[in-house]
Amino acid sequence: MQEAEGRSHELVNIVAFVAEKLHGTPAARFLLHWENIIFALVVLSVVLVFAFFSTRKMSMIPGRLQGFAEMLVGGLDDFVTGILGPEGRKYTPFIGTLFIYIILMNFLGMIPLMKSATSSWSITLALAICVFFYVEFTALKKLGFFGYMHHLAGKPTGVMAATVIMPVFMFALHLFSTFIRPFTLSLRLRSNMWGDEVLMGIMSSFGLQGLPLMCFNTMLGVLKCVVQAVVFCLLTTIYFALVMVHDEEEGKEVI
Amino acid sequence: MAILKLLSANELVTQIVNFLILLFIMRIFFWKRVLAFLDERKARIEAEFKSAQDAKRSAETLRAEYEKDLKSIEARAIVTMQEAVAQGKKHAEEIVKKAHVEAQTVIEVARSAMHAEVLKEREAIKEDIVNLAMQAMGAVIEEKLTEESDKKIIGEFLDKMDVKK
Repeated sequence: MQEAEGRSHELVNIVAFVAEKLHGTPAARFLLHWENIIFALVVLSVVLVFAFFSTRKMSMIPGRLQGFAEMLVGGLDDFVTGILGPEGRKYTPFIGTLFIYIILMNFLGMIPLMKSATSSWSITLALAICVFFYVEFTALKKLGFFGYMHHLAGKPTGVMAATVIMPVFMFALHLFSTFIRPFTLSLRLRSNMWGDEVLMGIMSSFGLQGLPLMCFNTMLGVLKCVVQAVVFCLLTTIYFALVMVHDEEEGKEVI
Repeated sequence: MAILKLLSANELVTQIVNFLILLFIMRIFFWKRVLAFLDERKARIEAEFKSAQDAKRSAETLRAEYEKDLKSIEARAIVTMQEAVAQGKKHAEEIVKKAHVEAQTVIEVARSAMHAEVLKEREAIKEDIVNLAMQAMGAVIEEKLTEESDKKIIGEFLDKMDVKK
C-alpha cells in the first residue's frame, strides 16, 4: 500500500488489525499488500453467491431473492436502455455488474472493521480501465477506425472540413478527453470514498464527542455510496451513448 | 508524479482480472438468465393480456348478439302472442257460430220431430174419434154400414171440422 498519507487517519479494519497482530511477519506484509484486493474479493464472493442463489430455481412466481434479483436486473436494464435505447441492452450486463460491484464495495466500508475497496485508486482505476477499453472497442467496432477518427475530429463537413486547424484541434481535444476519462472516473470515486474514510477516522479520534458527527456522516455516507456508484455507471453509459450510432429522423447520423 | 504513488500495479492488474472474471460469470449465469426470464415473463403476460382482451372482446360481441337476439325474440313473442289472441278470438267466434248452427239444427230437427209426432197423434186421435163415432152411430141407427164406408163418411166429417178450426 502506497497510500501512506491517509492510513494514519483511516478507521482500523479487520485485515489491518490482523496484520498489526502479526507485525513484521511475511503474512502481515502480505495482508497489508493485498488489503484492498481481499475486501474486493469479499464483495466479489457475495455477488457470486447472490447470483447463484437468486437464479438457482427460477419460477414464474418469484421468491424474495429472485424477486430482488429481478427488480435489480429490471431496474438496471431500464436505466441503461433508457439512455442507450433498446440496442443498448447488450451493455446492461457490463454496466449492471459494475454498479452492483461498486455499490457493494462502497457499502462494505459502512460495516465496522470493514473497508471500502473503492477507497483505493488501484481498484477504481482497474474498473475505469475496463470501461475505457470496452467503450473504445465498441466505438471501433461500430464506427470503424476511420469513422471513429472522423468522430473524434468532430465530424467535419463542408467549410469546417476545409479548415484543417479546427478538425485537428477537435481531434486533439476529443483524444485528450477520451484518454483522461479513466483518470477522472476513477479518481472521482476513489477520492469520495477515501475522503469519507479519512473523515470517519478523524471523527473517531474525537472520542464520544465525535459520535454525533459520525452518526450524521454515516447517514450522508449511505447517500454517497449510492450516488457515487450511480455516477460511475451513468458516466459509463454516457460514454457508450457517445460512440453509439443512432437512427435520427432526418436520416442516419452518428452522435 | 506523486499521485502515481497511490497506485499499486499488482492491485491494478489483479483487480482487472477479478472484475473480468466476475463479469464473465455474471454475464453468463446471472444477467442472461434473468433478462431472458424477464423477457419470457413479459411475453407471457403480453400474450395472456392479449388473449384476455380478445376473450373480453368476443364476450362483448356475443353479449351484443344475445341482447339483439333477445330483443328480436321479445318482439317475435309479442307478435306471436297477439296472433294467438287474434286466432283464439277467431276460433271462439267460430265455435260460437258453429254452436248456434248446431243448436238451430237441433231445434229444427226437434221441431220437425215434434210436428211429425203431432201429426201422428192427431191421426191416432182422429182414428179413435172415428171408431167412437162409428160405435155411437151404430148403436143409434142400428143400421150397419160397411166398415169402409163408415170410415169414409166420418173422415170427411172430421176433415170439415179441421178446416173449420
